[in-house]
Amino acid sequence: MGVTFRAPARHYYREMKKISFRDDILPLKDKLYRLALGITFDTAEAEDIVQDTLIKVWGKRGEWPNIDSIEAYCTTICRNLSIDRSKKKEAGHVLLDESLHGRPDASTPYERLAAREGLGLLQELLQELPRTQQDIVHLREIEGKSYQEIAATLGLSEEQVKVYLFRARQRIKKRYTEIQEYGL
Amino acid sequence: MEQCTAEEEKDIQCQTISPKMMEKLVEVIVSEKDEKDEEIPAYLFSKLKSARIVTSTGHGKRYFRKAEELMEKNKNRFTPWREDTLAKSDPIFVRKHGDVICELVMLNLAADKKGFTIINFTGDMDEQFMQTLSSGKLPDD
Amino acid sequence: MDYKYIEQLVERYWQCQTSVEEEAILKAFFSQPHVPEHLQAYKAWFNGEKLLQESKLGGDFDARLLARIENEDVVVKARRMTWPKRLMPLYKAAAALAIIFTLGNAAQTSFRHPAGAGSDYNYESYKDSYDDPAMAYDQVSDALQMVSQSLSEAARQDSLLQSSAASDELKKQ
Repeated sequence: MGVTFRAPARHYYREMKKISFRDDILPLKDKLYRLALGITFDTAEAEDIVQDTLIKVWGKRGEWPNIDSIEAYCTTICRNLSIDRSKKKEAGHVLLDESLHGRPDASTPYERLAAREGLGLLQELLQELPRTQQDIVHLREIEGKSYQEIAATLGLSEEQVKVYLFRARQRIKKRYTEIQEYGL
Repeated sequence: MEQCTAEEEKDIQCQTISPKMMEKLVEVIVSEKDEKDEEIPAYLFSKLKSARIVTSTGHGKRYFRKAEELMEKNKNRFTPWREDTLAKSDPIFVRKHGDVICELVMLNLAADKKGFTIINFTGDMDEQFMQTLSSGKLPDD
Repeated sequence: MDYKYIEQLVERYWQCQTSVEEEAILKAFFSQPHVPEHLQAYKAWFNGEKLLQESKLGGDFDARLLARIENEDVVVKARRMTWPKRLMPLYKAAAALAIIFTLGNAAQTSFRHPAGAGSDYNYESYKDSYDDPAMAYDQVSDALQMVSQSLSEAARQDSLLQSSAASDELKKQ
């Protein structure tokens, strides 16, 4: 039998709970999926992104002991991949994903059409928001986080979170009522 | 080896890593440190100046015997690493000057008796290098 | 039907005065099939957000991911254990030269240069097989691994030999 080289002892190992891929990282998958989906609005693409994110994180397992928040690390990678891939799509072309839209609430063909167009619009509106507002909207609307939690995650004050969220929602309200009035 | 027929020479390959490439390689290791942690330590690479690896997928026995004969013929230059080992299947030869091993040659005959390999390192190796290579532990472990 | 409660909630929502629970109520309301005309405008928004919120990965996701990871590791292991015969150009001329140089010419050089000079290596004639240091790394890595295995096997056999010799000695006493 041959020898297997161990990691050099001169490495400084932190006295921390050893991060396990299965227990600490894999459970983040749904959260990452919602994040990717909220940006790409494409279930297949979002799933690929989560796969690629987790593979990338797995590849960097040598660095795990040095990372403060493995969740933030994964989220950042996922977010960047999502933005990259959604940019690559043609401007103005929104992928209409049947599986996302084929829900029981859209029962008539008209309603299904309306639902499809609704999501396309949603994606556009969200992309119009500044990045911080997008993050806050995502954390609040999709992850259901409190202002305090959002503030902690993004490194803002609660006041700032409220202000940004207010601006975002006002803008969205305005855009939707405009669309209603002009019948777009 | 010069007596190899053209047919035999077809299945021989030689991979060469020059001193310049060896230097670049060490830079790669240093820059990708975290991913290479469990593999061979940079220390070992840093002791090498060049590497040549000759392989063949056929006629292994014949090449092996020829190589052994050549090493025997050149015993002024190359001495067996350990005289008293049982492991004759992978003979290792070294060329020393003083305590420094400036060249290492290992002959290997594959289990199927067809594949054959010569590993040839030049560099600045020594007893400690051989110890590390043999034990899998770094000197300061 | 009186939608006053919902209408109030919607207004407070835009003002960021709603709690997470109240926002959940709004989402549930707007995901119903029939939303009154005067509230239709915001249906896409609340419904869309709810859809995103409830989205989940398929059941086979884990299995597929772990299969990908395991494949990568297998590839890494294979690289270490087997002798690489890669998609590298066959340097036939170099091959012949290498064998001659490594073993054949040694006879000549050892007379002219007694071991004391590392300078008798004609590195100028070393033609690199790889452009990419990462590939060169792989090759040298495997070569070192191979020598390492041979050395450690020899060491293991030596210690076996020693311990059996020692036990023989003990038996004699």
